[in-house]
Amino acid sequence: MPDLSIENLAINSASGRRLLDVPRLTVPSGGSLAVRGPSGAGKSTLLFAIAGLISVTAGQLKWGQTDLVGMADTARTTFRGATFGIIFQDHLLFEELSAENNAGLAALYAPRKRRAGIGQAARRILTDLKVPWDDRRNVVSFSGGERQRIAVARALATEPAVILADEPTASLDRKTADALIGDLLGGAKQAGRTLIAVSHDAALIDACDRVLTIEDGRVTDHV
Amino acid sequence: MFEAFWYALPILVQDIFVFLGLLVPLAITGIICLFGYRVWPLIAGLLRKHTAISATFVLLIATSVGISVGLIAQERGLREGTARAADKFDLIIAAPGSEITAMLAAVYLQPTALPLIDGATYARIESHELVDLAAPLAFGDSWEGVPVVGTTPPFVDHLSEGLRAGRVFETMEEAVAGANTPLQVGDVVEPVHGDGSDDFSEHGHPYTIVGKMNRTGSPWDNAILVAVESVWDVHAMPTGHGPDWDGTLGGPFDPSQFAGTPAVLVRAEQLWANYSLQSEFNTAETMALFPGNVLAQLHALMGDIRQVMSVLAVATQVLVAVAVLAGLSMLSRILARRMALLRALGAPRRFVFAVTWTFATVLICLGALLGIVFGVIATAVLSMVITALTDILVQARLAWPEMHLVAGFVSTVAVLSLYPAYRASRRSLLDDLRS
Repeated sequence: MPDLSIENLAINSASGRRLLDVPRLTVPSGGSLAVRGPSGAGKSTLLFAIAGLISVTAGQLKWGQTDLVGMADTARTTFRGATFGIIFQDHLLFEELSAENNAGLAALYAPRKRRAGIGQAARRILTDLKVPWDDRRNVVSFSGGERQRIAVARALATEPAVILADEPTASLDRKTADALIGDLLGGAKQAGRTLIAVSHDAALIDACDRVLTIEDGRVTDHV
Repeated sequence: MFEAFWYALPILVQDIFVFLGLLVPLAITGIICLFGYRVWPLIAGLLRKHTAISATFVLLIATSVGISVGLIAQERGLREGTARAADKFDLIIAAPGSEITAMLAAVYLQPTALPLIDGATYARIESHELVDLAAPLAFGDSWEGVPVVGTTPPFVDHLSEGLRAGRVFETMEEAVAGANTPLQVGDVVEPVHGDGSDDFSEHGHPYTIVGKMNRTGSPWDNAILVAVESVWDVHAMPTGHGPDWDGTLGGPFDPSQFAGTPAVLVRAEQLWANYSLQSEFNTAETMALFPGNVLAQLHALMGDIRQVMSVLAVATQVLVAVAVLAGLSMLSRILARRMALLRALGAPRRFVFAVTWTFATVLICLGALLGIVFGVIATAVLSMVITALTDILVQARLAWPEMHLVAGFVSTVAVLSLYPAYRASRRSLLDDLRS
């Protein structure tokens, strides 16, 4: 499991405006980090940079010995698929597919030898998360909580070393949100996974090992 | 070596090989694109999600393919139909003039004024040792728009190969009706001079229908055949026989009593004899023509038109292909967020490329298959319309050339679809993900 280390990270917009400055940040393998801050502060930008989804203007962003800065797009995509499980704020599911197919989406493009394992893991995680998946109906008919849990199952089905979550509890009621926090953090600790979550949710923030606060593109607190 | 092998193959096998060969680019592109990926669950989902737009694409392609293959099949069907209609007319002898006009009048019963062949000439034809059947064909009268043709009983037997009902006319007051006329045995008709469209006069000579012909697939199905003697008689001309005539219809005719005929059908049992007769009767007084040859010349002209049609068909397909590709580019924008999500989750660009290309190709293949169904329907409808309009039996069917056109179209558009698929795979991930 790789550690995350960031040094003097700077990200500019296309017009050259500075979006984010992170002088130094480390997250040890198996740790959990909550990123908080007001809307538009740069939290999601940091998460996307950590995932290799956004180009970095300057600095260093390493997962273990792998520096994502300057890495070719194809290599970054491969690394992302092999290392991260990503949970997006608004689920981003394929509505026309079943819960099982959504959770096992990576099996469609993974090497043949990994497909069966991804499918089995998807079904097991859906069962653990109490998502009814065996009726094969499209996910459009599922509740918001179920859809977010399907997104979690999709992130976990590839058994990634790192979970990156963007506001994973934003659209959930308290009870469902608490259950999801338990599943995410409990599962991560049990499997020794790193968890980095952007959130406004105090319950999720409190449950993480460390907290990073970003305001106006700058790190203002790191505990 | 290859050429000898190829031409040794049965035509059907050659057609199948050409068909499969035209699909090779599609197959190779598909294998390369899809290698290592399982795109079908996503494709099925996308088709369900975008049913309306997918159906529009499929219908657009199907309509284009249907019209193209339908027209090409129809053109071939019309050529075959006109050739079939001329089958019974081995050699036509007429007065010198336009071969096409003579053929149109004698074979396809198109109203026209032809100069007449006199009795001496007819006698020379009729008595020639190589001639097995000579029959005058006298046009000019009609009944309710149905042409009335004067001829001889042996010609009716030759044309119809036996009758569907009744018997051949035996007197100047009897007639035989074509298969498509509304007339039945026992009906009485009274023809008028001309085709009935201008000023006309009734002849006051009723005919009783005594027989009905089998279907010939030619305009003769919509004609009434009477004794040529009666045609001459109602026009106050000699009946072709001398005063001691016993009333038996048909030849031999007395040259001095022969009123003239615009065309003579001549048939010899031996093929070579027909050529010999044609050569012999191509003189200053007569013109001998093979309707099959004249038709072949017309078909050669139509062949050029066919090539133009084929080019137009291909051009239409290309225009549709361009429209499809433009549509696919729009569709790829609709799919953009999903494709960006796939890449964010770690799917390679080639997977996004494969999904977009496969989605496009499935629509193209479905459209082509439905287009073949449309083509079959269009062909059947057009055949019925043309048969009704011309009385020439057109039985057009889709055949291998149309299948080759469809296979070529599918392969070409599938290969061209690589471009929008490539564009889709190169879109900005972050912009699409945040859209």
